Amino acid sequence: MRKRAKGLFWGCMAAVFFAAGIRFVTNLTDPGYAYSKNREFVENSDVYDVLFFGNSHMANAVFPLELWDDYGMASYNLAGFGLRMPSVYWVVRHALSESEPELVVLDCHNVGAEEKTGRKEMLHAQMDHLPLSFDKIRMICDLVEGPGDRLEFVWNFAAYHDRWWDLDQADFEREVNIQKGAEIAVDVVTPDEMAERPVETVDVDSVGMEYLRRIVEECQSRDTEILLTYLPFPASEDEWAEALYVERIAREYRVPYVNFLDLQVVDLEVDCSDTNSHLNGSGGRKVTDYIGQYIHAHYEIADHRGDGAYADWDAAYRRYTDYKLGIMEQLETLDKYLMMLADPAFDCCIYVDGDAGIWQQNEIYMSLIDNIAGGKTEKLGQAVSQGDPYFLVVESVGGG
Amino acid sequence: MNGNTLQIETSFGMVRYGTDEAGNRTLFLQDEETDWLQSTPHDSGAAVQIIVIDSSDGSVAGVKRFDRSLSVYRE
Repeated sequence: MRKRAKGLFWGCMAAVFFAAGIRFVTNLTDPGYAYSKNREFVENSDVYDVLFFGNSHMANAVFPLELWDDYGMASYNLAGFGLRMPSVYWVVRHALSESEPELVVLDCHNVGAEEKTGRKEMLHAQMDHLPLSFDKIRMICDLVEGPGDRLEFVWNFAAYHDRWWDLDQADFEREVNIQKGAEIAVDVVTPDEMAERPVETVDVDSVGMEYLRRIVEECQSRDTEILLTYLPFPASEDEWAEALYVERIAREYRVPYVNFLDLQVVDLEVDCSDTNSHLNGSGGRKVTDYIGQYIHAHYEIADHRGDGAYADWDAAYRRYTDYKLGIMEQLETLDKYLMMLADPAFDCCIYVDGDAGIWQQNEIYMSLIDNIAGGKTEKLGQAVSQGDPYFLVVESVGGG
Repeated sequence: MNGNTLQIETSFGMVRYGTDEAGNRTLFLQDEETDWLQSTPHDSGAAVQIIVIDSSDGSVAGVKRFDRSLSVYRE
């Protein structure tokens, strides 16, 4: 009897050590992006009044800590790179089960797509940090068609077990996104041409549209306000079509919709980080500013500045500003640096040597300097045309 | 500092562009606490010189200069 109990004890101990070992190697080999991007939300999900959803367009375009500084708004950007609308639906559903935001803001780019997921790496990036639950199993079964492909989403070691040789310092340090889920893009790229706005709205019947409806219905069933957007970028004809069709959906459900393709909020010449879709930091700040004003004007979202329960948000904003300065310190090209300077957090003095001929090297420098000064550059054109030295001081109103 | 060619008073200090004692054309900033801060202490002929100010408190947040190929200078 005693021998059996002893055997049972050591058997249990072996099982515990084995489970702990498996957990350790699972965590170690997980590249950790999902953990990094959304950890702050996962660990403290009940403090957010506004949540942003969508794909990379949203992740690069709305900066919650700017909204904090401007309005005291507590928000988080849960958008995920490469997500299709069905995947977004599950992200929304999970977020709403963990929190009670006043407002959900959902970007509808790619809502015309038929597939439920993009690349599976992107799905991992949005799913790996979620604890195993009945809802997670339902999500995996809905999004991942092949039963044989589902295991790696249930237990991500199945996907990452061969990363042993790729492990580096970052795997042990586990950096955390300090932008409340957003991601500033720093490239400056001349975009593709924007397609012309179609005259008529055509029906867009897709799997994405079906899931858009489900997201709206999910929010309405919980009495959570939802605002739909279609963020700015050089849209193709098909993208224009889906942007216009979302307006019908919005009318049908009586929810507001902001189609940025119809607005002049960004300047695509200086605000794109790639040729066809994403905004850089300058474009993102403009969109954030517009959305902040819109929310402030149309919703009663609390201003938590000065609220002791949100005291750590001021420190988070300081870290965010330091993070931007850290990025700028690393930048080695003038175009990216000028783009990052188009930020109300910074004043600046810029001197351009007239003999250096920078304007001839790339016309975009003129636009980027104009972008920093908000178009108040009366003498810039003269300096460019005559090769004069140019001196610009940008000073915030009431700042400093 | 000699031969100042431009000077402007701002909320974050006095900004000047001029020639330093070594004859280099330099962007300077002087605030209440510091003597003249030079953006290009070791070089002349920078194409673009930038001083970044943290607008929340007016402090100097960064200094950057680019050479004529518009690459960042390396010290």
